[in-house]
Amino acid sequence: MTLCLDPADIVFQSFHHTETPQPEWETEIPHWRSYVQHFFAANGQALSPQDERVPAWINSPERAAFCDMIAVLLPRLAEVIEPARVKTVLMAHWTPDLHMGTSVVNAAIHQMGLSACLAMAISDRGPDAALFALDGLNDCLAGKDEDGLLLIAEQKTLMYASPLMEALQPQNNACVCLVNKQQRGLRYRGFKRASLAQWSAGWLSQAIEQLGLAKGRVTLIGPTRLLEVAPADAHAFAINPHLVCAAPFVALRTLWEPQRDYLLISENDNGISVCGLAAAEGPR
Amino acid sequence: MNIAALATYIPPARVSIDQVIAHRGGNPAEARTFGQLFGLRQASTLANEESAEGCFQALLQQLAASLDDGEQIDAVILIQGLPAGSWRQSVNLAALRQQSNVIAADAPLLYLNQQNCATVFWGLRLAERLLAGGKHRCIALLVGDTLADFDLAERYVPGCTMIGDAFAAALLKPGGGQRQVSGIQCFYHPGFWQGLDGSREDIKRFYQSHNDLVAHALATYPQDLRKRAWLLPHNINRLSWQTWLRHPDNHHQAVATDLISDCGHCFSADPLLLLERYAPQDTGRPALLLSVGLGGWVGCAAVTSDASPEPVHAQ
Repeated sequence: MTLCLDPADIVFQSFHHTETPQPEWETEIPHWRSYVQHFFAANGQALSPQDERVPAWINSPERAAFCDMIAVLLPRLAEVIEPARVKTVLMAHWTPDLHMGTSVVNAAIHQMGLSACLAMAISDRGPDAALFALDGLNDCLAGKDEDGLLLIAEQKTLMYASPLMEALQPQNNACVCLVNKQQRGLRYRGFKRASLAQWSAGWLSQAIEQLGLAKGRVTLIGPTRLLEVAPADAHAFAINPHLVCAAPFVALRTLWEPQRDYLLISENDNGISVCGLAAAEGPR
Repeated sequence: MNIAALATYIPPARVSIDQVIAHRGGNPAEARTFGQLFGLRQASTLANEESAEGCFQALLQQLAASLDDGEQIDAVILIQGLPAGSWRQSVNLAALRQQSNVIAADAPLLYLNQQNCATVFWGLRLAERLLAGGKHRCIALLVGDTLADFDLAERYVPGCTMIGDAFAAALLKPGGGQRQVSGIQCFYHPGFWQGLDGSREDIKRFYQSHNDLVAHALATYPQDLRKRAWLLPHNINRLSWQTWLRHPDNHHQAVATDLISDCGHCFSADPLLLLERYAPQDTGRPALLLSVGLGGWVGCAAVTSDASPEPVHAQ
């Protein structure tokens, strides 16, 4: 059985905030200052006072927590999620959660009434974490007649200055995908990695072929600069980079048309990741 | 799987509950009440020149003495449970491997931190799986946390516990022996997903469920084993265990709580610190190790000596 993803089973939303700062939270500023300073020290770096943002983090009007965003989205999939079939829940994100100490996967398991789940988060990887997690779901569900949940979330409020995040301008957003083994929707065809040096029209064409996608009807979904290598007549759509990990899935949900194959493209520090999804029907 | 060698280190330095509560802006009366109610009077702490990595290095040297000629540690699993990182809490496993002449150069270095004190049981289960795979024969499990870099106030969890520093290292090998580990259970109860970030109400609900979570975990062992065993639990506080003992089902259970007043709740290391002091070959009784972590993570395992009857299989 092949892992499938029906674009109708993708839900997503951007959020301005999910919680409003309370005056008493200010008493926690020393605690969080200490936390973030030691967090930097543990990673062999010093956090200068001008780069520390704890008061702004505490008082931000745009605080959005992963569990609260995911909790809004899950009911929208309640009709298609069969709790007895879901025993794997993977979470993907790049930006750090606003809340530390909550388990987002356990919150989802609890909310949906699932039991005996394998659940984990793919963190600190890069914007391709959700593609990596989709491939992880394919591994976890291999040989099983089960479905799985992919949770994706990002948020913008950090305790420290980060040139990387300032350039990226992440949006508070979340996305939930139900993957299935019931042969509903697009067929998952695999995950491939390329180094930045390898990335070319030739590599892309070979990957499309190796993943068993039909050249004539494949749509490329990825960051603008990576799509530049695609042939001029290619069907290519640029993702919204501010959605970070969720971006290719949000684009897939928005652009999907019947009878087309999709190549989702993302990147991290070390290279480029792609996932192939093929149309359910039609000549191969 | 057998714990072929076990070494522990509780740093000799102590901070008193009065000092800790004073750093939180509390007064001596609060400290006295807390101490009397929860049995927590002091917490062990690393001295300035000590670090988690240094402690593990010394413990590994002690373990090395028990290795056979030419025998090497072929995998290292580091277990920590505290969510906050700091300079002296962080452990460079690659450096430890390089400095040690008993860790194989190609030994995988694995780090588990589920941000709660029950993580050690996930580490034991991982070791058991690696050994069952046959590729590994001798695994070092390093367990321990420190809060020494942080303000003293961070050691205090009102209405619950005081956190101390301590470390344990175990050599795990396949087969039986004086400390045979079996019936490793790793539970999570997703209803407590809020963890450390929970509201006062969430955390109260978790504390109130402590007895039920313990009962659920221990129910996996045969009744006769439970009756004979020393329960070696996390040193959360004395009141929790007194309350638990009041339940008719638990009246006769032997529970080791003597480290609570000595070193505090040394997070992931507690059950192994107690195992060194309540070894089945010394007590003549099996041991049940158990931790209940905030967030609904519960782990337990049985440790029996070859000298005592049957190894335990969880039901």
